[in-house]
Amino acid sequence: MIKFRIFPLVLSAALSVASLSASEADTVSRKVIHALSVDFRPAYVFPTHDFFRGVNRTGNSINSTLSGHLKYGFKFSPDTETGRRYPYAVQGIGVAYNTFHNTAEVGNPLAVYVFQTSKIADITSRLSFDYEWNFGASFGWKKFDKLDNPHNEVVGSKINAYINLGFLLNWRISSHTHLRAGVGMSHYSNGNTRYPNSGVNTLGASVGVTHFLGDREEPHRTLSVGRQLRTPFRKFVSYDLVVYGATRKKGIWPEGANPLMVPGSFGIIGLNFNPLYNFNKYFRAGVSLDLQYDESANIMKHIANEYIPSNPEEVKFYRPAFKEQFSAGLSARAEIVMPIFSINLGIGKNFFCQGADTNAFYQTFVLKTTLTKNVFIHTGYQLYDFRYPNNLMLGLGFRFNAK
Amino acid sequence: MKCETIYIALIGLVLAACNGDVFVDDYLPHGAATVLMSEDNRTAEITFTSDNWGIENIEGWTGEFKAYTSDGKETFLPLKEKELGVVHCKNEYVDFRIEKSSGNKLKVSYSENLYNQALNIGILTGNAYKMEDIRVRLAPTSKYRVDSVVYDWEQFYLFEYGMIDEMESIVVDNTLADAPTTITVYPYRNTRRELRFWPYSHGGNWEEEKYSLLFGDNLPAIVIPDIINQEKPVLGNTKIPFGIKQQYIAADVDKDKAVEVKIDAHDKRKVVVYNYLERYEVPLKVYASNPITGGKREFSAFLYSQSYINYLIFKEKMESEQYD
Repeated sequence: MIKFRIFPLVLSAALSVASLSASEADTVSRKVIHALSVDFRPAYVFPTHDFFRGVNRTGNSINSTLSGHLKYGFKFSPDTETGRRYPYAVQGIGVAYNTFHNTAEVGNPLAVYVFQTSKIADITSRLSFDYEWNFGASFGWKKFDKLDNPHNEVVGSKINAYINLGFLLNWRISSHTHLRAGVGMSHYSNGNTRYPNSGVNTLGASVGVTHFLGDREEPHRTLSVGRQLRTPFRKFVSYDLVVYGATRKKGIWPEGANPLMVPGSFGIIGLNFNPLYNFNKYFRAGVSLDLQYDESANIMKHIANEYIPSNPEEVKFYRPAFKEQFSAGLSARAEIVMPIFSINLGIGKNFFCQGADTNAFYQTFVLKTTLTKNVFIHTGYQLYDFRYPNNLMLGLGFRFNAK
Repeated sequence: MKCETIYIALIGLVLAACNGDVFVDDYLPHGAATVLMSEDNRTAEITFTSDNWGIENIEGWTGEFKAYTSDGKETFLPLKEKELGVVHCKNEYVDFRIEKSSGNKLKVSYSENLYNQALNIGILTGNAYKMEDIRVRLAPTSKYRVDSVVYDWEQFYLFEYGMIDEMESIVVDNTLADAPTTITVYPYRNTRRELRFWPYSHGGNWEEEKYSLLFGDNLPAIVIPDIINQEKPVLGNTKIPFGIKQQYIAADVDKDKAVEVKIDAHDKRKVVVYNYLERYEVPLKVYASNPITGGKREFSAFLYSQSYINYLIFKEKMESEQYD
C-alpha cells in the first residue's frame, strides 16, 4: 500500500519541477525542447512458467505487476533540420520502479532505460495515436538460487535487459502538457548471459503525463507530417558496417545423460554488412551479410569426457573446428529511422554453416543509437526460429554514404 | 581514432570473455597411423597438436623397461601430462627407446630387433579424457657376427686318459663249429667327436634359440682346440658352429680301420669294442658385433670336447673271460 502512495507524490514533484524550469528558460534560445514525463503502468504477467502459475513460496500466482516511470526527454526544436524532419519525436532517459508483489522471490527491480516516442497518426487536432519504445536495463532482480530461491527458475541474473513497446493515445490538454494512455508489452531477460533465462513478459496499460518545458508552443497538430518537411527527401543507399560482440551461456543435452549447464560464458563476435535503401526519412531496408563466430556452437558434438560427469564443472570439450563455429548468412532488414535512434528488424538464414547450432533461421532485433552521422552504437539480440534466444549483439557500427 | 579504439576494446572484451577453461586440446585429433621402422629408418618422431598427454603404458611388450625423467632420475609409468622423460625397453633381443623430449613430440628409436619377425608394440598415450594407442612396428635388424674367440688356456683342463667307452658289441657263437672263426671288426666305425657348450656358470640351460636369434640360422663357425700328443691343445682347422648345445663331428681316427678277431671252435664270445676317451674342457669368450647397428656382445661359455684316440677289443666269454 505504501508503494501506491508514492506515485502521486512523484507525479506532483515532477510537474512542479517542470513548471519551475519553464519560467526560468524564457530568454534562452534552445535547439532542443525538454520534457518531463510520469507514467504508471499496471500490467498482466504472462504465466510462461510454473513459477508464475503458483509454484513459488507464496503458493499464489504471480500475474500482475505495477511500475512507476519518471522520464526526461527532449525533442529537437523546429529551428533545426532534425526538428523539422521529426517534429513529434521525443527521446530521452527514464527510470522505473517495478513491483511484482513478490519481493522475496522476484524483487522490485529498478529499470533505467532510453526511450523514444513519436506520433503515428492524428485522430483529432488534439488527439493523436503514438508509439513509444523503451530499452534499457533493470536492476535488483532476485535471481534463481538452489537454496535461497529455488522456485524462481525464470530469472538467472540480478540485472536483466528491459524492452518495452507501447501504443498510446496522446491528448494535448494544454500547449505544454499532454495526457497519454495506452497499452504496452514488456520483456525482461538477460540475453542468455546467465541461466535460467525464461524471460518475463507483461502486457499492460500505461497512463501518464508529459510536460514540455520552456515557452514555445507545440507545433500545430493539424498539419500532416509531410508538410512540415522543408527539405525534400532524396532516396539513396547507405551502407552499415557493424562489428559486435557478446557473451552467452550454453546448456547441452547429451544423449543418455541429464542436461548440463556448461560453466563459464562463451564469446561471440560478429560482423554485419548491410546496404540499406533509404526510401524516406522514416524507413530504409536492404539485405545484410551476417558473419558470426560463436565459441559455444556445436560443442555438444565434441565432449572430451568419456562419460558425462554429473558435476558440470568437470565437463570438458574439444574445441570444434572453425567451420563448425562460424556462420555466414543473409538477412532481409527493415529499419525504422528516427532521431538518434533507429530500430532494425531482420530475418535471415545462414547459408555457410556446419552443425545444428549454426544451421539456423534467425531473427534480429537491433537498436542503433547514433553518435555521429557515420557512427552508431549497435544494441541487438538474435533469436533462432522466432523462439530460441541466441545471443546479444553489442557493438559499433559505421555508416558509409550517410546523408 | 576513437572508433578504432572502441572496436579494439570490443574485440578484446569478447576475447577476454572466451571460455577457454572448458576446452581441452585434442592432442591427436586424427589418431596416429602405425609407425613403421626398419634398420634403415630406426628413428621416428610423432608430432602432437598439443602437450596435454602423457605416456601411460607400453603394450605388446613383456620385457623389462625403465622410465626416466628428463633429468635422468628413474621413475615409473605413467609419465604424466606435460612430463618429459624416456622409457627404455630392452631385452636380450630388442632394444628401443620412447622419448618425450618436448611437449608435443614423441620420439621412438630402436637399435635392434633380433627376432625373426617384426615386433609390434603400442605406446599408450593419454590424459584424463582420451587414450590413444600409437602402434609401432619394429622390423628385424641384421644379425650379429663373431669377431673373435678367446680361450682361457689357464683354465684349460685335460681329463685323464684311460677311460673307455663301449662303441659296439657282437656275439659270436662258434660252439657248433669244429674250427675257429674270424670276424672283422671296425673299431672306429661308430666313433665320433662330441662337442658341448655349457653356460659359463655351469648352471642353467644353454639356450640354442638365443644364438639362433643373435646370429641367424647359419650359426657362425668358430675354431676349437685339438689335442696334440695327448698333452696340449692346438687351434687348427677344426671348426664348429657356435650356439648348438651338443653336436658331433668326425673324430680324428680311421673309420675304415679293420681288425680281425678270432673265435675258437666250440666257443661263444661277445666281442666288445671300446674306444679310449680323450676329453677336455676349456672356458671361452666369443666376441660378436653387429655391422649395421654397431651393437657388441660378449658370450662366456665352457666348451667340452670328447673324442677317441685308441681302441680296445674285448672278447667276453659267455661263460668265462679272455682278453685279446
